[in-house]
Amino acid sequence: MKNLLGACPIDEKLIPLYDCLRLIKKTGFETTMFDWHTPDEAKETVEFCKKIGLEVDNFHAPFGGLNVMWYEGEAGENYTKRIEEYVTTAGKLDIPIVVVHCTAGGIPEEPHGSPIGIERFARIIALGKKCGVKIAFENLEYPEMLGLIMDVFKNEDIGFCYDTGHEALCTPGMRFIPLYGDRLCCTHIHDNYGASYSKVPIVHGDCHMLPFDGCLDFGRIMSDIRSTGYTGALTLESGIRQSLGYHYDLSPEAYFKRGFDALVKLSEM
Amino acid sequence: MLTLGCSLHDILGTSYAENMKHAANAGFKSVFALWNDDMDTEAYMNNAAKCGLTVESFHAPFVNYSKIWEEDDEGDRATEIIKHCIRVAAEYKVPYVVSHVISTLDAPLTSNLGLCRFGKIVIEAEKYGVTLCFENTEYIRHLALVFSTFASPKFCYDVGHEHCFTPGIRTMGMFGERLGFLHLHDNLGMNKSYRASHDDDLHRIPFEGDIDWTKTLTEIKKSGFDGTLMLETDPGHDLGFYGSITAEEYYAKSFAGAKKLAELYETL
Repeated sequence: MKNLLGACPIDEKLIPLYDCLRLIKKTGFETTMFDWHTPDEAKETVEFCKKIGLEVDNFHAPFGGLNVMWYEGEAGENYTKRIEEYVTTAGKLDIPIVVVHCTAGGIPEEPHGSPIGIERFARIIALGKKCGVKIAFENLEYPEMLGLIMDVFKNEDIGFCYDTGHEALCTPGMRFIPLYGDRLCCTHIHDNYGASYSKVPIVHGDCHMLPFDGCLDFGRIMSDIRSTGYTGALTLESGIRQSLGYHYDLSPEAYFKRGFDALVKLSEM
Repeated sequence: MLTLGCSLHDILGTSYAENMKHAANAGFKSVFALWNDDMDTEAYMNNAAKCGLTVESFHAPFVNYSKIWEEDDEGDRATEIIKHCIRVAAEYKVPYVVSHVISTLDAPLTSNLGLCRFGKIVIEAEKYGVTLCFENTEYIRHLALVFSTFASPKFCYDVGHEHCFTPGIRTMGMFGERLGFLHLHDNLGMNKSYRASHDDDLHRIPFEGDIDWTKTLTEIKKSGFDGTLMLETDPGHDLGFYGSITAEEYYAKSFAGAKKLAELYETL
């Protein structure tokens, strides 16, 4: 069975969202994923995607400052509620997956496991089950924290969102498909130059480039993905402008065409 | 049946020589030493030979591994200590040296400098013909980086550490192709504060914790491993559990655990 090919919208300063979604569809992509600010905005965007024949593979829950979820206090509670809103909205709009980070960098410090954090993620997972939404956890900077979540909730129907770029940059030498491939339910496909170890490997170099424009071994990546029998979408999580000042000197049309060709090549590997 | 081995140092107030006698009497054929610069390596090796025990590895000293990753002269000293351990292993024809890449609950950032220092350790092992193994400990990311950088080191699969420090990360899935050595011990997993703690690292005899040994041994066997089933157990990590056991009783118990592992391994 063929994997659907998807792309996320790019910076709205370059192209308004709805124009971007139209362009994604016109280029040949079949699916998309996005985040949003309000449930009404989510509803309108999903309806627009339906109108133009673009599937919505998942919502990406907020993640900036997410580490507060691991600490007692109002900030963590509020963050949890925000993600819960994502889950209930996804349920109402028949979006099957919400992608959730379990950490967000070392801000304010490297997060560690805690009962309150586990309790909050448990609530989100339970809500997902009630709403018919799968919560998919993505690989990021602290593999031990993802491991903790995957272990504590091993008897729950949680998913794994495989992020190719993060695997190479944040956790070189780790391969997440052998660990969680049996839960693979969505993908974030992007490229970068790998880890830079001058000092801080985590933020530096998360370029979110199109596949084959960096140095990731997509042959190995696709072999890993294929080994799971995954039939979900291969979705670009890339942008024209990303970190390290990297950017494509391309129009949105040319950028998405380049991205589509790269994804087609990937899907044939 | 695979060879059965155990870590061998002074435990329960008895000398290592006494421990060697008990380990050999219990049925163990192989041991590894917690090597350090102060020990009389020659006496240790001679005692082992007298008891019919093969010393299969030296465990590198517990240096401050965090400093290896940091811009600190102590990192250079730690590197030299591990290199020295490798040279001594070569001198006494001990085939393996097992080292950590980190040994702390406060993970240092990975760094070029750390990679350079571990590179020196790797080269020393290659130069002296010693198989260097890196072991999984409190964090997995430093180990993954080292393995992605250096081709020659092998993986020492520490089953107990995986269970209590990094639940949800089956290291054999990532590093099984490089498996070179085993540290087998049991514990009760991570505590309910969900934060890694050395208190969880009980180093109990297999089947005295809650590790799934069928799953674990299946992964080991799948890798084609044909080395020693090497226990890394120590009653000193869980004196409350082992009560007033004597060293002799302890080695008999350990061997029974090891034999049960071997029998299970054969059935898989």
